[in-house]
Amino acid sequence: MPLIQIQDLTYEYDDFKLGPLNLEIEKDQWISVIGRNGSGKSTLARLIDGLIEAQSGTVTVDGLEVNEQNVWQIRSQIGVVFQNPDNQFVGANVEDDVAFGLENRQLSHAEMVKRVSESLEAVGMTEFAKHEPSRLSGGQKQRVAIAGILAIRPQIIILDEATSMLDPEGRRELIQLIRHLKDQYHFTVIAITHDIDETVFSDQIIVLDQGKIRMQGRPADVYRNRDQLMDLGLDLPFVEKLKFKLQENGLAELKDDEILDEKEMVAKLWQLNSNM
Amino acid sequence: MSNIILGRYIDGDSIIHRMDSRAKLILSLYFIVIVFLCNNWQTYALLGIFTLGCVLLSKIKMSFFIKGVRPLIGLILITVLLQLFFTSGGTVYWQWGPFKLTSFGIINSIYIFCRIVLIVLMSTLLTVTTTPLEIADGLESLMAPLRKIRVPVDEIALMISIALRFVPTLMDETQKIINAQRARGVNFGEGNLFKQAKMLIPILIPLFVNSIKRAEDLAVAMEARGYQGGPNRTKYRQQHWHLADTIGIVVFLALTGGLVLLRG
Repeated sequence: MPLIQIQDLTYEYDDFKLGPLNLEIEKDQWISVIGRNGSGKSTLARLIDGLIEAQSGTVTVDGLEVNEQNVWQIRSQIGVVFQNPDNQFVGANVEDDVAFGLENRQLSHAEMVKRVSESLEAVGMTEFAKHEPSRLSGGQKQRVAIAGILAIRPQIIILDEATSMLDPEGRRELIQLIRHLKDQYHFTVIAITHDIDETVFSDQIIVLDQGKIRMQGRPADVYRNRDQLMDLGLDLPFVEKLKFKLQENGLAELKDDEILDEKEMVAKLWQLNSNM
Repeated sequence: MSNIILGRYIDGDSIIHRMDSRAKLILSLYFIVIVFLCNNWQTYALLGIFTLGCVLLSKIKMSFFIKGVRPLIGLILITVLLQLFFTSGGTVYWQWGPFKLTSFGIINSIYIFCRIVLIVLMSTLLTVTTTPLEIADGLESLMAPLRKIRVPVDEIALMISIALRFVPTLMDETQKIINAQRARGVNFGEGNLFKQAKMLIPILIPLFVNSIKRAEDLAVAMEARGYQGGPNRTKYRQQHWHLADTIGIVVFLALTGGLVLLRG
């Protein structure tokens, strides 16, 4: 049974319509949801977490249907990192913010102290425990948000454009950190983004446009439809773009290779170079 | 803004810093009450020496406290002058219409001066040695009995703590908006009072709209993290009542006894 199952889901507001969507997400996967502004990505995330209610259809998380009775139980399995680092920082300082979710779950003080220090350690923010949010950078605040989520030990982490307000350095670090944590804690990641470079290491990419799934599949399969991606207002990741340009300029050998990151690209070019 | 010392926390490590915020809150309020027990120079001297002792114990430079009194100079001066010229009784030294300078007036104005300065010193001592958050925690636990009469103490405490957390964020944002409007040609701080007030609109409206946006985001983030409101939460920040707090209360009680004895 898949971890998240979405059946005939629809949601409407103003002149926007999401769905009908059908989607299955397996355990321990990294799912990227991509699409241009207003394609319904964030709405989808909020529907999964029960923050908004669907007009029709069902979302099932870990065997429980998202509805009014189950919503708090489901939320305890899901952690969401939102876009704006400032607006989701509830606590007066770092450790307070990490403890917020634990306070809501009525954990004992001793357990909270243990989990807060563990989570801060995991995101590398231990030395900032007493700092106020105004003394942290955007990337550091997002790390704290992740620590707050790790502390509740969720099965699913949703990144709702969590990197969109960070500088390139901060983005890279944050994505690296989550990949590293995913290996360690084994959770499912649903990463919502409009930066296609962040989709490179996902197990599955879902391309949304105007509330509908246009493409779905492994990164290599999705990137192959270059023209269709362009039509949807999306671009290719850097390595794919390079591959495409090299092909255009006569390096036909690259055509069917699955090259996902820069390292593989460099290795491939070395290999081709020595064959010539 | 930057010259207001009252309400600003100064980091330090002293007995007063380490005291429980509940004890400090109760004692500061209590101090204001016992100041009114003073009615002669002996009692004022005792209280003055005691306050000076507390200030020294906090290991914070005297100059901070003097700065704390400075913004209130106008208020103190007016009160003192009113006392000085409108109190009758005792020997009359000088009189002109309703104004008169009497021995009672002089003594009273000195007492009033001491009284205000002592109260300001004590409240400054409270705020410079206690973080705003500790004060909020202290208030929360002192308000706890009000739960019985259905006062939403937990919500009030959360509101105070979120408000305190967002003060620097909103200050930064205000500055950004001011600069952004300046870059678009708005001249702040010019013209008459009416014009200046009107200039505040391009600052206040964006600030207001952004605050609503922030509130929405924050509410969603809090809900996503399992916040359901009400008293069903545990607390991460703990308050500890130390021996020093008990000693503080005993000292204050002894002080009250001393003041009652010395009262003329």
